[in-house]
Amino acid sequence: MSHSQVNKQVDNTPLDGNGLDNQGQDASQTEIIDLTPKERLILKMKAHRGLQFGVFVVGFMVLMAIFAPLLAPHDPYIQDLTQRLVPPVWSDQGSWNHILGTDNLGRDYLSRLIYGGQVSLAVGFGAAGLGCFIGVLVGLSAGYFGGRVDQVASFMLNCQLAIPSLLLAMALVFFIGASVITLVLVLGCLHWSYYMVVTRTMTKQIRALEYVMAAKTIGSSNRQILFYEILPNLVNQVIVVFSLEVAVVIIAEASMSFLGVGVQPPTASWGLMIAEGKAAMYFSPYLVVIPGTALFLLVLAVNLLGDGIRDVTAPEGRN
Amino acid sequence: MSELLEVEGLSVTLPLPEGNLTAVSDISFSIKRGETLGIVGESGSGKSISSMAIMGLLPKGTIREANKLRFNGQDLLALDEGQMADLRGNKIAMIFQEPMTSLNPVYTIGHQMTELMILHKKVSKAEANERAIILLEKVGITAATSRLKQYPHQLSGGLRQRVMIAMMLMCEPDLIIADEPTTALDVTIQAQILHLLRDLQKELNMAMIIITHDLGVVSSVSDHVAVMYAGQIVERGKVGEVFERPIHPYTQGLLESIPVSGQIVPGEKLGSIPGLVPSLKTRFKGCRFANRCSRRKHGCEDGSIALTPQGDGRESRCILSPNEALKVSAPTLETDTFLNAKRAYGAGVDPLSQPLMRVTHAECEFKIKTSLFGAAKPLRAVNNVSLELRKGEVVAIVGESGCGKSTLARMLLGLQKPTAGQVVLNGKDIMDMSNEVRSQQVQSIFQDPYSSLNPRRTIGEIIRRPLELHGIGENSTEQKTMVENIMEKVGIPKRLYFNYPNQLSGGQRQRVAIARALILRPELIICDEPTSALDVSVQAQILNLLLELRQELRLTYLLITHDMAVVEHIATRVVVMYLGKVVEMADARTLLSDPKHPYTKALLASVLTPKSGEAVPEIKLGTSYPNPIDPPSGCSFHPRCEHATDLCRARAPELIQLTEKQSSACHLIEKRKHN
Repeated sequence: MSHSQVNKQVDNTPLDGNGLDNQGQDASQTEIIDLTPKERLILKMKAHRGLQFGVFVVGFMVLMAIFAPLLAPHDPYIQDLTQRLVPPVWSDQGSWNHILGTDNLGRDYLSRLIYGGQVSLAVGFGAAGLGCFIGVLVGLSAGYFGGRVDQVASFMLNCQLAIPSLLLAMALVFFIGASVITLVLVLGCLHWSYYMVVTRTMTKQIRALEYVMAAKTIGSSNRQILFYEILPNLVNQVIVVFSLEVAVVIIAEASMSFLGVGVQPPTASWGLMIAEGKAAMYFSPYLVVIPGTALFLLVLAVNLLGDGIRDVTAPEGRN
Repeated sequence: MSELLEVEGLSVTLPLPEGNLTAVSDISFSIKRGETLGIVGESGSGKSISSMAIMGLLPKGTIREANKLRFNGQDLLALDEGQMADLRGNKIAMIFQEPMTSLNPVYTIGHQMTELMILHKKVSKAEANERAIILLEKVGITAATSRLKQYPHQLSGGLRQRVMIAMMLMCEPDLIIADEPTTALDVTIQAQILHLLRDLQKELNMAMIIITHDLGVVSSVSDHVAVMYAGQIVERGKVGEVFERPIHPYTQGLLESIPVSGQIVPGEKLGSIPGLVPSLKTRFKGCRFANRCSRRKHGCEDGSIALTPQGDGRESRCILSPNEALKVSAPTLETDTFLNAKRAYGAGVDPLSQPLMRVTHAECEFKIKTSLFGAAKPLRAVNNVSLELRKGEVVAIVGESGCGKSTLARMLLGLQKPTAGQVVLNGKDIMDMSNEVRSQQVQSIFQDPYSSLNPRRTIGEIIRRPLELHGIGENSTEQKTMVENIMEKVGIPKRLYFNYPNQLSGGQRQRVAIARALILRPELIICDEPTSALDVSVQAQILNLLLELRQELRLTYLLITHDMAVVEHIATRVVVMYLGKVVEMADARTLLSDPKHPYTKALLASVLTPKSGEAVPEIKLGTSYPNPIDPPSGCSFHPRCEHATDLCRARAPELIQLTEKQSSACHLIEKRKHN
């Protein structure tokens, strides 16, 4: 960690009502000023390699997904049966026309990978966001109101934890019909428990603090206390949970697509690409390895990002 | 006699990302067997760190330097971690501040007490148990044998601290370091514990170092005192001499800023030290106190000032000569404000006026489940309390923790619905008021300025919030002007408008809390221990501010406190509570000079003052504070009262009006009257 020293002149204005004047501020005493929270954050971020890797990879993939139509060399849906199973450029039969080769229907694999990223990220961030909304709301009310509200919320949580969520998600998608929107809704409704537990505990702690009491004395309503006083203090923790949940949901989407209850062909999705490639895996292993690697990198990066945010926002001296 | 502990030129440096922080610089002291040394200082003066340095318990990465650090002839600097561990708990024992957290909750008292002895002295379990029982009895714990099987949560705070002390004595240490041993305890318990510590120390001929911010504690138990400021010892000497004739301006200021019982002119402003305790990150040049010192002169900031002998074993770190320093020890108050404050004190309270707030037979009961399947038991936190507040009064509610004073405060704020009785504010039941109306009539200031401000909001946002909530002020510019006016009034520089609370000191934060309470222009302010979390010198600033504001804005205060000196200083009327009931109520002067109820007498007797030659008062309050869920029969104070009769055990006394100004709830007084 770089050691930066910020020396500023301290204004020692006397703070008593006593009227003892302290004229002629002494210029002799300088103070090493505390870094502002922002400066301290930046210092920590510069030292955190994991966070930097996470930000870079996730950022790269998000940009790739947004600008997919500009970046993809081919249309990901056009089949060219004459060009089936062309291996990637680094093998002997590879060509620069299809950098990552083609699949068994002759579709350009790089283009499908880029478009598949859209699905992974959309489902990942969408479902985690929906779960975040539900979980934070339930957790806040359970922690703040306590009593009956808490009992009901905790019962819901227990039920949710008792159900094998992937199985339920598959059943639900099967009945409703598979699409990206359904996936987001179903996965979002099944991934709120972590948020709820974290916000509930934190809210319980904060509720007992004197600034909540002070907010009541100045006439704030419960809603104002929840959203103006308590919620801002939970933001760091919620962001960390969010980033971890994004990774979980991305894997869930890939698993469901792999099992055929997720994104339906011909839409490209990394899970689906692995599923479609598994028939030819023995002769063309790249069909599975490439989307698998992409998935691995994304999930790893998201996890590192979450850990990194937790580390840099943690109080001084804790890691 | 030879010195037991010798410390010479001890410095402790903490490396931080922003640079090195010298927490303790060049301190020296020594202590003989049977002596007690008090180390006094405000928070951040380095007093705890120096004791940690002696024990070798500094956090990793901290640099400890010393010319000499000898204990019993042994060089502590040369010892490795293992040898140090042998010494700790065995020869040097430590008592910590929080009896609630310094015992391990998962082991029994017996296990924790014997563990160390079995480890260090290689004795059998039975022998260790035997000694534990003897020591528990020695520290005044009854039924010691059965206590050994109890867990810490089954004991009260005072008992736990006794257990801690007994535990420290297990290995017969030569030196005891007590770090704020009584700060977390109630006053009556504090006196008992100090008494115990001093007796044991004399009896076992141990040396003791007491580290505290409380000058009263030091003066009553120690022989020598070292006053620390910003990591240095600024004055050192015999307790009587230092407190009687302080040489260093800081010691003088510190002593002036404490309301001393018996010497207080009510409503008079306390002497206070301007400014703030400096951050240790400051790079000092010359005297560290210079920028707060009222008697600074040329030369104060030229080069470092050494601790120089001032005769009869005293040392002080000041360039003024002793005679020069002692000359102006009269309070540095401005006579004008002083007189004004005094005049306004009695004025403003009109006994015939309509009461601002009237509490009639208020009760508050909570249902507490004590076991998983058992029925909920009622806990009566506030029991049949009636009182009236007139405009301009400062009513103090005193009592130990658990007496229901905070619940009462919540009821008066309209945040807790009374289960019986009512609270009427300006002729209207407070529970029928809307948030908006209520919050413009009654506001509060809380105890802990570190948790009463939302860490995510700027100072400006915090103070402005009440205006936003109730739509006061035309637009945001006008609101900002209002906020800035009030900031000026309570003495917060305007430049802090966009700062966050963690960038402010404790005293500044409390000023922000006061500003927030005042911005709605309420008539009544409920102050819940407004100064107990603050440093001594800052405490005086805040009390002075409250007095000034009262005068200027014609405020009425309800002050909740356990500090009798604060009561004496600013209260006009006092209400003493015990286990949810009012046991005595009187105007301040009467109550302090002529208390009737035995509990009030005990409370007043346990106040420690930094007057020399004053021993720790003997408090005859047998058992500890009763559990409010299971209150004693009859008069709830009878188990602790030395005058208790059968009548006291059978029937609860009523609050009897004794004189126009005083009423008290005690059978003994009734009897006296009938005779």
